[in-house]
Amino acid sequence: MCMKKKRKKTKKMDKLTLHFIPFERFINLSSDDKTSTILEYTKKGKIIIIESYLDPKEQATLITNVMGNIDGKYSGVEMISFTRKDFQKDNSFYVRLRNAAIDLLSGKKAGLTIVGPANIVKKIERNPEMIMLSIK
Amino acid sequence: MSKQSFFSRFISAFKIFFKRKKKLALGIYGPTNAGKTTLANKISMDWTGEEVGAVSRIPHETRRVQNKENVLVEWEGKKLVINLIDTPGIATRVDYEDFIKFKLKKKESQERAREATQGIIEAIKWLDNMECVLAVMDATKNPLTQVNLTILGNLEARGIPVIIVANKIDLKKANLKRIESAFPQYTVVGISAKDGKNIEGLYKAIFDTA
Repeated sequence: MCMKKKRKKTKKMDKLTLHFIPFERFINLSSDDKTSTILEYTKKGKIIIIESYLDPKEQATLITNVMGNIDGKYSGVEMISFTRKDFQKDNSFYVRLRNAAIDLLSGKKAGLTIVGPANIVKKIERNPEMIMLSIK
Repeated sequence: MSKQSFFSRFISAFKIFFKRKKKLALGIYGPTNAGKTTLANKISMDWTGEEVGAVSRIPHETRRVQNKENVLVEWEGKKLVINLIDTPGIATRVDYEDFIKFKLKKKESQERAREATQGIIEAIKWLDNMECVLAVMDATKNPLTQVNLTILGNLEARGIPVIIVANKIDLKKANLKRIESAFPQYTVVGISAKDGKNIEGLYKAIFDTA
């Protein structure tokens, strides 16, 4: 019985795939296209890692669109979106200057976004040092 | 003095009284079960003697934006008229099966989930109407959640003043310092909306921010 349970768990983990969207492919999309892309992936049960930060208004638009799509099968998403700065403890002049230069080049979008469907991802949690993703 | 003249004098005095005071659209935002409606009730009870809405341990009890208009708050000789706006808890997921765990029937749970999703959309739309926001967080939980970050980011992007309310400080697990160190750029006030602990500190912060 115990073995059976263990096998089942392994099988579930085997199916987990993470889809990666590079910065260049995502940054040129409009806010609407960004949220539709995320919706499309998560409605298909896929977890995506985007090499870009979603700004707060895009995050709110995503939540609004996700809510509008919730039904018996789709129960929403778990997500996290952050910039490089969110994990930096060093706030020296040099670091701030370097950040400003990177922001200037990337349009303040340098960061990472992880979004997964709520029926697969139980929780994505961030503490000051790391990100933890729990699977159902 | 005739009755009419007394009445008109009363009306004009009333108008002047309210004209002189600043009227503030004060929103209460946060994730589900952070204690937003408990806080709205506490503020409203303190100054009007009436509650704003029902509270429950089941998430998404508040599924519509609810208002309490013209709440006159007085603090150290200053007066402020508040439109208190209690909003549904923001979430990125709503699963009707979560309500079944609280022994709600399937149909009731599905209806609650449907209303909750609409409530979240409504709460986000209302962000533009706010002049000051109390961002309520559960002090017993990790504050670095996407919902908290999205709320704060959107308020900052709109230039809306915000006070972080670290609620439930009456509980043993509460960790006010964790919230303060996660958001050092914000005013953080630790309170217990349930028993009123440090509610005066919150009124002071509202007057300082408004």
